Amino acid sequence: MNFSIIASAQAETVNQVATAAPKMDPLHHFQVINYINIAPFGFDISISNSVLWMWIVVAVVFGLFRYSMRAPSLIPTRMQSVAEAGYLFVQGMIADIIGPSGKKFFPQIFTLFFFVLFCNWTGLIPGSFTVTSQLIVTGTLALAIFIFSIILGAYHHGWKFLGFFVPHGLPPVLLPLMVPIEIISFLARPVSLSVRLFANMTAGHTVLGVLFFFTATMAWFGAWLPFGFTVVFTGMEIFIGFIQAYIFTILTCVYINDSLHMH
Amino acid sequence: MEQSKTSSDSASKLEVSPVSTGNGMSMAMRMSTDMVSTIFVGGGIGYLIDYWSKTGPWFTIVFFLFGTAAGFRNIYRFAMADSARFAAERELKRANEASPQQESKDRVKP
Repeated sequence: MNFSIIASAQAETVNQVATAAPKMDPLHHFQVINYINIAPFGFDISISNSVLWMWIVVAVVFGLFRYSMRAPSLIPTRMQSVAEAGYLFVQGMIADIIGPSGKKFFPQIFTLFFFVLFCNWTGLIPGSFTVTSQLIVTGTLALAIFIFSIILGAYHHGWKFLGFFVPHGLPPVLLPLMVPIEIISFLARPVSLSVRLFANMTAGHTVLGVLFFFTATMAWFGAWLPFGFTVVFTGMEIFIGFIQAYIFTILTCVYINDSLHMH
Repeated sequence: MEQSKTSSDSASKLEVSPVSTGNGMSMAMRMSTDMVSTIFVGGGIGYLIDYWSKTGPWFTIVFFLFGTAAGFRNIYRFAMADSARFAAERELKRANEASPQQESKDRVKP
């Protein structure tokens, strides 16, 4: 009883101190703000900062590739070789995992990779919005991939696709045990795919927000330390943004491959 | 002709190598979330079955355990696939060392 009173009093003073100083709110930049409210027939299709930044990302990727390949030559310019390296990177990934039959999925996987990559990277610009830090965005992407892989499997294998849930060389006694396990691990695919990207982006940007807050509020003789950390973490975030886009794409390849060549 | 073949070979090696650079980190991230997500999905399925059929906590418990097993199965499958890949790479390296003058030029050198 006593303790709780003391604790609440302390919390009160802490709150007062916090309101006196600039308020620490590292989750502020994940807020979705509607710029233009559009809701025809009850469907909310408002133009929010999330939508705006998705458009910007698409425009940046499109513009960058158009600019890089504006006058393609045999001896590439700097930008052209970057674009070609990106192209070869995705192509190598598909060839590695799916094989020659994955060629027709190249446009889809290429688009997905560069969309996620630039969503992650543009989020690092101060004042911008990280589209991939919204679970609804990553969830929609992951569900789209998941449903696509199911339709692909059903198209190529028909009802035999259900054999996906029965592992090879399994004694029939173990079937009631293994089939639910396989179904759960299959259903967990979109969950882990979306949550991984969302959680990594949110966590990284929250850490950056906290460190920037420390840098801004600490006295000059201490501020260099969190500032140094922000520099290191920004580099780290660039790397993680790439890794996450890479994982997202490589798992797309793996799921498509599972649907094409079962087991 | 021979020249062009080796250069294209080394080019195909080069475009694969960035794939393997971030591999360790991506593997760690994939494993951790793959393991946790199945537990949540299993528990969620069990909870929904219980919610609809009013069968107490039993399906939640059973499917939670199924989910945990599925998480471990994911990790196991992933690790086995990866160790198979490592074994294949080691085999390739050994083959290179056995006949260095033909293969080492375009295979060992990254």
